[in-house]
Amino acid sequence: MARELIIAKTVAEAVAAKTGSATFVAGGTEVNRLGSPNDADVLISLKRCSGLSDISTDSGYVTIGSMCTFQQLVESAETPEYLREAALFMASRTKRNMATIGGNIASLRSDSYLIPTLMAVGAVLEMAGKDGSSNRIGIAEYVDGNEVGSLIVSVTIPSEAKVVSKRYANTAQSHAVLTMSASLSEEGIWLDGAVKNVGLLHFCDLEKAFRDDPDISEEKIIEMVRSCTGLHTADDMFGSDEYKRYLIAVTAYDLHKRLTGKEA
Amino acid sequence: MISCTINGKKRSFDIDPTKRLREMLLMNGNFAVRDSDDAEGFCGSDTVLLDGTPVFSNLVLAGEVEGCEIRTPDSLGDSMHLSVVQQALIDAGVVQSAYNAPAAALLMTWLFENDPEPSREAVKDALSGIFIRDASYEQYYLAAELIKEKNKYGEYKSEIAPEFRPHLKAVGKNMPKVDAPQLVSGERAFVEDYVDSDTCYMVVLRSPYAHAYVNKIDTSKAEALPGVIKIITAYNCPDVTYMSAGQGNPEPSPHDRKLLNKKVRHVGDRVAAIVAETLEEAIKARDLIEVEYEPLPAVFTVEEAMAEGAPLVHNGYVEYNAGAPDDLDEYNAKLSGDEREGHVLYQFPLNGDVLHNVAAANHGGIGDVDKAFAEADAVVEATYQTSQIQHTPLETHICFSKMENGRLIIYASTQVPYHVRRIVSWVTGLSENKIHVIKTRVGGGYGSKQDILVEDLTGYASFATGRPVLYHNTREEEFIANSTRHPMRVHVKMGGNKDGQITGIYMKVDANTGPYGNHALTVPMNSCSKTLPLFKCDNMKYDLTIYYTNTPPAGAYQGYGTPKGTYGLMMAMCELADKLGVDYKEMVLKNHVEEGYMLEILKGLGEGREGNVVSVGSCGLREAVEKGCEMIEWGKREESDDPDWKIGKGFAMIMQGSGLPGLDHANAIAKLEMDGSVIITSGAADIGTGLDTIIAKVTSDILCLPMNLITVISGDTDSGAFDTGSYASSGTFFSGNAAVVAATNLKEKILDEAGYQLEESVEDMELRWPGEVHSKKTGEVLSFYDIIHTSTSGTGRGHLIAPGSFTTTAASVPYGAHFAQVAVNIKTGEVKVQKFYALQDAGTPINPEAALCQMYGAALKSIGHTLYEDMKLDENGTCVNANMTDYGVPMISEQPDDFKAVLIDVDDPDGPFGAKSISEIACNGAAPAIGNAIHDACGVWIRSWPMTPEKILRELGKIK
Repeated sequence: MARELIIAKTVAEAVAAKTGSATFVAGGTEVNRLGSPNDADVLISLKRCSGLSDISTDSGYVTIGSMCTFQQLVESAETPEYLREAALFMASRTKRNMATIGGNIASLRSDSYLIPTLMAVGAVLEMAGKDGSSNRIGIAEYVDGNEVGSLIVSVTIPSEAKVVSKRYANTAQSHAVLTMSASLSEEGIWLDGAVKNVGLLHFCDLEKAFRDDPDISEEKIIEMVRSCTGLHTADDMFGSDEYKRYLIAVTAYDLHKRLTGKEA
Repeated sequence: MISCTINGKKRSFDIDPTKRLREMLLMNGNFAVRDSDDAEGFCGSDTVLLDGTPVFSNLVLAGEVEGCEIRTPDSLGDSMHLSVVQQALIDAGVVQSAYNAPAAALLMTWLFENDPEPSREAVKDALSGIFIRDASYEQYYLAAELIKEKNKYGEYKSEIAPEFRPHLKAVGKNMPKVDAPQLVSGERAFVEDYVDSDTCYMVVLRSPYAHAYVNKIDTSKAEALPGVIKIITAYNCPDVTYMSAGQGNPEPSPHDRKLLNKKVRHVGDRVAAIVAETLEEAIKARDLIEVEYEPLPAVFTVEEAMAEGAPLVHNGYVEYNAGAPDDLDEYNAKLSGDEREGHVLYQFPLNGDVLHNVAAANHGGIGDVDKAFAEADAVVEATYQTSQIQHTPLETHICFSKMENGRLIIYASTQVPYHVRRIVSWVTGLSENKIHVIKTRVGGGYGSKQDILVEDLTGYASFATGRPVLYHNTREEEFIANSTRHPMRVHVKMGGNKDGQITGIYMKVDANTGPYGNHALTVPMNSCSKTLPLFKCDNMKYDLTIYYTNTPPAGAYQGYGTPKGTYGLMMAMCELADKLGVDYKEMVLKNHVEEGYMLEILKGLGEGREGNVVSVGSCGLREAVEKGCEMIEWGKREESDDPDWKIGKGFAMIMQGSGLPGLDHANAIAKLEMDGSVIITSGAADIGTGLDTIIAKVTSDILCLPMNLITVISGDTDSGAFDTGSYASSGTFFSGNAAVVAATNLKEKILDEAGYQLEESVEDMELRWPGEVHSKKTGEVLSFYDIIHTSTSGTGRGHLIAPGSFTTTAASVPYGAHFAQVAVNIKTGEVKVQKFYALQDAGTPINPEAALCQMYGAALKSIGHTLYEDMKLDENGTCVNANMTDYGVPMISEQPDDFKAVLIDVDDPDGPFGAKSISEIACNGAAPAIGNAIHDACGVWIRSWPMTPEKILRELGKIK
């Protein structure tokens, strides 16, 4: 149970208040929810923090303030379509009114709505340093554990990108067993996903397989994922290990097909 | 100090800023901002507008709203001054149990304030954050149309629902449910709204073990805390054995539990109850209780329970109130009889055998099934498994009780006020005249409030302490400590001939009742008694066994066992049709019962005694099947543009009952008040389904009196007379008929009194609208006011009061057919229900718009049971998805795009004004309709709930 609430008015105030026993609260749908792992003594609310809710476009890139809600992403004309699609994975409008892009990234959930898409397009995060400095890191780096706990100021992504995504959940409101996004660049396909109870994954072996052989068969992809020792899926309430591996494989194949125009 | 504007008024609060906004709003009296999910951000009962945007107030910190504008549901209009939106929700019939109806009204208001002409998609989006369990979302779309029309034209243009019986003014007409204004506006209605300010709080310490003896409980540290009033354990509670089912006494359920037991039998079982002056103190005390458990091996499935040498869930001595077997002593000698086990008391034999974990059993049949199978052209045999399902009412179980002048007053959210009173009487030792049960509005029951799950403990706590006590389940407790739908294994063998004639049916049902036997016999029995009578078949047999296990408890659930039996039988029938190469529709039409068919199968299917053999009465089954087939274009193959998606169609015929003939009993008392208005007091328990409105409507048509001059008081054990309660689809038929009898008796008294006052023959008197008596002979007219004024003048013949009592052996059976069109992705196993049509013969639908909503609500709920809902237990018996998000209820996103409810017009000779039951039956069709449609789409039979993508992929051979 938190003992203190600090309403930060600026990024500097928020960062300054962040001590070991404090945590940031963005939309509140994660930190304040039932079953939240948060047990901080001090909550730093970012809702009054100036400059964190803007969306702007510059030189082919869109920069989104970390306090932009999912619903802002849905409604803004500047939001790339691929991110709008990911934001709509959150089925509850009321929750979309509250949850923020920064909060969703910072919570690093293994059923994240947005991170697979942001990873697939190589999103860059602007982080606020304790000393007032700021630095930019790739989202993959953040996911790897760098800068976790620091304040995300904004997220920058390409205005246009060829991205497709797919989310699987029991019901629209349930936690996803798998969310996967794929993008296509000059280097080839990029595949990222959130696998429930496993984590946020970059599927480099699959990328390589598709890049090496764009016509690789679905059966080969299924077999590859089925036998992959580096994938630590397991039986749980969201499905069996075998089901999850199968789903990852057929989804990767399908997303590749959609991106490369090889749909039947 | 936090300052903000609430509903246009500036307010300041001295509150810890880390508290939730909802808590602050409750301090301000905005109690219609409710909580259904313990701050999960799922159900939306806590929705408010924060600076004009809908948010979950439980997820907002109080300190974050400094300077903000907040709008709550109670700002929209009170029950005497409803807004257009509130009125439209009422008129569309969606205000049913209505725990979060005010929040839904707020969302719809917000939608229209921002978009006066919202599309269907916009309505869907606005309601995507609110969970509606009772009425589904379909009629909200209608409500949106009504709002648009009212705003644009000043009146409604759309048809709300078809109306019936043009010669009547109230029955069969679309009229506001009598409690709807109170409910939609968020006035005091539910138990939590009546809690006194000096109330103590009770919490329960629950078992972490599925099966263990409780050898010692040390409460000394907890009791030393200031504010702790009392801690109740198995070592200081009454030594009374009973059970929780609210059924007619003597119950067809074993008495096998005490208030708290020295043996816990499931994870979540009661260990201690802590009463303290504040909730925080009670929780703190709970954490300080030290318990010494002696864990025991546990069983979780019927397969484990029936295994040779399985651990015994009940190992105490067995007793009988009547009909004890001769060898009982010998039998008991084989049981441990450990004092900690307690004992199992059967009111009469139910074929129980606790030595083999059998709580109850039943076997029977007609004809010769073995011969039928031997001679059949084809036989199919398969097992269908159903899952453990939670009711998830928006209002979790709650009870408030207090002592007043030696009487125990209980505010209960219950389907069975009189059974609550009886069971609390047993537990406390108070006689029933010393207990007053007040049923408030009920925020969703669906069978779970037919069990006395919290009133026994709360009532006893008040009795033992003399203090007012509030108990309110958390959402997690709803899953782990309440009743649930029995998981069942339904094995069906069915034989038939090439002409489509079914020659023999065998059902073997193994049900899992969990640790206690409440409803052990009756719920599983319905899997046979409300399914086999659909078939015109001379050879039918059933074997029904109900097992004790250490899972969370099972109990009553809307539909009882019928959805599961229907699933097995209709799937098997479809499999048989497939095997014989016969069209399924033709097979259904060839084999279903028709009016006059004698239902010999019912003889063995009574509830613990011989059943009534009756013939089929009014029956709209054939019309439902034929009309539904037309609507869904049965036989026409639909193709998807995407080769991975395959489309199929399926349907199932369904039936239920209208109460329990020969068992149920209802009463009402009608009084002519001093101004000629009428108060009718009913023992009935309206649980949001419109029963009070039914009582008012039948009274209105019988007495020729406008609805606004009739008030229904129900569910109050002090003022009403006995009613068995709202379960087994009895409300309309039994309580409605009791009101018919009372109103008819009052009518006769009024006519008699009018004749007396006019000095004319009563035969010359007739009632006329609106509330007057006319002499056919002299043309004289007396208003009801004139009559009652004179009769109570001191020289008159006194107050006109008429009781009405109703029992019957007549069975008014509702029938129907539910249809589904699904799309199945053969690559991923995903299923989309594209179309769902529910066609039902409900006799005369007394509240047509509410009837449609109940059909929609039950159908969507059962779509959820079929595809998504499943309580998952780990190897220790702990439910790992005891929250709304992980459990998986259907919401607006899961609702079929093409969703229709159709009322088949049948006038029943025994129902009140021809009415039958409506709601429970609507739970029965989805599973077989969807299961058969999945087979039609992709060729696989999914023989277990929920029909998940993984199971479909497995059947398709995509995974092993």
